[in-house]
Amino acid sequence: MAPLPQTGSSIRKGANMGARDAVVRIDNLVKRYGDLVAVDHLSLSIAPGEVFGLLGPNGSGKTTTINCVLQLLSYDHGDIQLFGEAMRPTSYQLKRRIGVVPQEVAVFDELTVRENVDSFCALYVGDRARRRELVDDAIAFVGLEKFEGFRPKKLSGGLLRRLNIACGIAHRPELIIMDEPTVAVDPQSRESILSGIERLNAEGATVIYTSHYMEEVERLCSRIMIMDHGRSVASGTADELKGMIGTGEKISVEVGRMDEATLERVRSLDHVRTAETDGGMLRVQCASGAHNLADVLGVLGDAGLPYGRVLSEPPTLNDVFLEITGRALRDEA
Amino acid sequence: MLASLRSCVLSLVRDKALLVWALAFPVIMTLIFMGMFSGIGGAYSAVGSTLGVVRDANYDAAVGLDETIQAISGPESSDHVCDVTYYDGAADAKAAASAGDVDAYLTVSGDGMPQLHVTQASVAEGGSLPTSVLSEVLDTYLHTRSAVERVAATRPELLANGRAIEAFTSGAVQTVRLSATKNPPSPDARYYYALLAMAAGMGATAGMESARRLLPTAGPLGARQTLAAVPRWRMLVGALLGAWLCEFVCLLVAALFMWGAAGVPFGDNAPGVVGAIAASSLMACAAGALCGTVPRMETGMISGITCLLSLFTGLYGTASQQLADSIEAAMPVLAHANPLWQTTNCFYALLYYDTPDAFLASCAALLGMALAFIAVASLRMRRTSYDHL
Repeated sequence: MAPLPQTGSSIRKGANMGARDAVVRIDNLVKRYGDLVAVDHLSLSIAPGEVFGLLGPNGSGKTTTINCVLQLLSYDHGDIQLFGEAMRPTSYQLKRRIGVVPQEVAVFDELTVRENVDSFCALYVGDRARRRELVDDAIAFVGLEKFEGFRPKKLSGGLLRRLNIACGIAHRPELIIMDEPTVAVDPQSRESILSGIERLNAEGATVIYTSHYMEEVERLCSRIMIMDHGRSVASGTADELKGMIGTGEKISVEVGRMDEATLERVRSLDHVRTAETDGGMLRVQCASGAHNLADVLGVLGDAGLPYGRVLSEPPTLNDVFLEITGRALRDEA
Repeated sequence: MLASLRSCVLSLVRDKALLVWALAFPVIMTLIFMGMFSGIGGAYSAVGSTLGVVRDANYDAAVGLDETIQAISGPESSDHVCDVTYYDGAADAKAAASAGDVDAYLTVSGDGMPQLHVTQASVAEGGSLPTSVLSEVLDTYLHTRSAVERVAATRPELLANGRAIEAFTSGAVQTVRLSATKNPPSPDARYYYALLAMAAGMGATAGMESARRLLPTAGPLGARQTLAAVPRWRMLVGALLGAWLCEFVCLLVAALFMWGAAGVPFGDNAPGVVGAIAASSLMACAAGALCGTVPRMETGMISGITCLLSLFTGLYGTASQQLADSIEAAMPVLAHANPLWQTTNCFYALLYYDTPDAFLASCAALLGMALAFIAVASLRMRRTSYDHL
């Protein structure tokens, strides 16, 4: 796919930029459904070239926020600007610069892959010759060349998701909004989709990526906002978010049986926050920034305890979410 | 707009639902009607009637009567009214009438007065003998004969030769065949027209599906199209044109099939027929589009409404036709508010009416309904918020 007109500089800090520079700027957004506050005074700013992640469990307000940005939902309070202009349902020039990949596959069942991509592209690009090029590029981009003549019902779930993406990006939007594009996708297709998003960003597109898969968000996003109950509970780069919490390295050691005295010695080590045994595994959580693997293994060696598998993990975004909200990301809201 | 039209046409053609309702349904029903109505034409065709004539001395003495009878019964006569069988006596003729061999018989009394004897069957409603025409013929004959007799009494020289008498009698009988309608009545045409109207009504599902795909409330596809950089009205018009084009072609093919395979008469105004189909399919698509903007409206509801409205077009048989006629007579506004009645009336007017007034009125009514439906649908389509993505 040829580069997008925008340059692909990776701007990490979007929060402090001016309204004119931001691709997306949301100020104090509030959306209520009766008594339920779906989005609660949310503010954010996304710089050109960013991949901005909205991370949160189901029902946290990610999709509602996106719908408000796209004017598919009215909102009770706040201001939304795209490319420095107020977004309205009739802002067709702005819409021309936006591509949306919805959470559910939204294509015409009766049209072939090529016809589908062309139909959606035609809603933005009138020139037929230009459109032909764009459709070719989009189909090649998602790797569906062999399936051009297939109708959606003949495609697997992963291929359908790729078609869904092709329909959203064919007109070369500057801002691409992807709402959980990898839900119910096999690992191979997921990898293809994620690398595709990386390429789109490298070609200059600004991406808003919503997901409750922390690994994807961590991999793709230059900046992440964690949402819960419609509120922004934390935002920053993945490292910044992890730095916000007290949890650091997580150590797991296969120990078989372990006496209470040895366990207490592990707990008394510097920087160890918790230590527990669980089914023959010793699980140790350390404080942020400290590396205690050698000390833990030293205690086990001094106690004459043989150990098997050893695993040391850095903290994840799930740990961040768990620490901030008291719930895991994949729990129901 | 073109993109919406194109995707709509492709979708509808491949979806099959429209093809089933707007094309396969009327074609299959036409085949069924052809079987059902194969004998109905005979019930409405003119049946030859026979007049018995007692050819005795009194008959021969009645001047000019035989010429008059020949004039209305001769096989080559342009004034042919009935066939004639001659009997020697009144008893034979009466027996033949009783046996049903003749529908009536004619005798001449001693004073030369012709008398028409009719049976109960021949004067009953639906009887085949045109007794009123025969009575008129005999009255005319008596009037002419009386005039000749008066001339003979006062100016006999004027009747000196046989040519003069022939001049009187030759013009005594003249019949003119009149038709109340532009084309001969077709007893089954009304069913086929109502069937076409019903197929048009069923085709409203095409408009419904096309409009619904643009609605953000109807699902992710509608939401995605709502985000397009194209005004909503242009997308609606494109989708509506696509649906209309598909339905129009389907109905046109169905009408051609009716005309070609079942011999359904549509009159001699082919552009009018095409116009009627265009107007009715536009009305149906617009109605469907309006229904499509109603969130809880299901496709089955359109079928139900169409079936109900078809009741008042006379599709379901004689009782249904009588009901439709009574409503039209008692509450014309109600009948005219039925778009399927207007569709049926378009074809009816083309076939039977001398002037295009009724046809144009029905077409205008259909187009008016279509515009009203589109206007309301457009207003409802302005809503762009939804709860899917």
